[in-house]
Amino acid sequence: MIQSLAFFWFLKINTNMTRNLIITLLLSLLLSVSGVAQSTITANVFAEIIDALTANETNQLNFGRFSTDMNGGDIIINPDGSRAMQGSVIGVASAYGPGIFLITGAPEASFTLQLPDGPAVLFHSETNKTMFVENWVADPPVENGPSVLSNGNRIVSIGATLNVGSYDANPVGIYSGTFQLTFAYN
Amino acid sequence: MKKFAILFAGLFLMTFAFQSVNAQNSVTSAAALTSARIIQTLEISKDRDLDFGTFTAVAGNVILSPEETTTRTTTGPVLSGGTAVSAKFTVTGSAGELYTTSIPTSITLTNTNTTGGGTLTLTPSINVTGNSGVLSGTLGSGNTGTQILYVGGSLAVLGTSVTGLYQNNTDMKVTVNYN
Repeated sequence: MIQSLAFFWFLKINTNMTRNLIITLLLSLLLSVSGVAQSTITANVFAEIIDALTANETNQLNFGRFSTDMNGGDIIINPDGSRAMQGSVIGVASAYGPGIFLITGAPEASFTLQLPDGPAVLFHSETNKTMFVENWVADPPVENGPSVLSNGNRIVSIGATLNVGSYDANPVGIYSGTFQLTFAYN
Repeated sequence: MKKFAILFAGLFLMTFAFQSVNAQNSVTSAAALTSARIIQTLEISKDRDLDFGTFTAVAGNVILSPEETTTRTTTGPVLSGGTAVSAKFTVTGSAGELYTTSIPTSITLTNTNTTGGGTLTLTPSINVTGNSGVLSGTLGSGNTGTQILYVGGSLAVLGTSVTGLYQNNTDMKVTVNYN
């Protein structure tokens, strides 16, 4: 009975509508057809701490004993330990050899060597006379790129050329100086 | 017949019409927008893991940028070789859709060397600003969209950190959610 009354009321309302009115009923159908809205994945994270790189000089670069005359010349120490003279320099039997360094660090890690970017200056022990060391070479050769620390060790040998002047420029005596090498993990 | 059709509709929508009349006496129509939003499943897959490579124990941070070719910088530890790469993920879903990313604020890496011990703390970073991602393509096109995510971060190292391989296989979770 109540439904019937409501129905007739609804009809009455409809009859009051204007003719030109189009009744449009669009049922709202909210589709929630969505897929999974969340996804998670896990990544692995790695980091490795290795021993610090160390370098120890086991042999000093030594050009040995030699004599010269008015014109001077060069003494070359090769990384393999050999010595060569140029000009009027004459080698004298003595101990000489390349600078040898023991590099230690992480096994199989690679490292680079940076040779001095200029000459090293050697000072006479009693005067202010000087000689220059230049043309630095290394074994393993720097131009070959980074070297590997086999079992965490590597021997690096350093050679160079000593420029010797005349007697006046370089009187007899002991000349010494320092040079700097930089080893770094690659 | 037309009248019957209207009557028929009236029967089913009687309650709806009744409410409309109550609220607004002159209501003569009821229109509602139809809305449908069908979207594809949002998925994330891993393309590669996060690796900080090797370095020495000096106090400071090793930092990896979250990008394809990662840049590794340091504020202390001496960097060595090893493979240093950001983590890489592919997010797949509906083209043009926005989504949010979620990564841990901090995770702990543990030294796997049995004689080593110790931990390292990682603060991850991701390549989307404000953790807000957007899938490639045109929104509503119905196509599949993707976005590549990269995760790097800043790894804190102590001067006393012990040598060894540090690892975490469970906590570096990346979660993506449709907005």
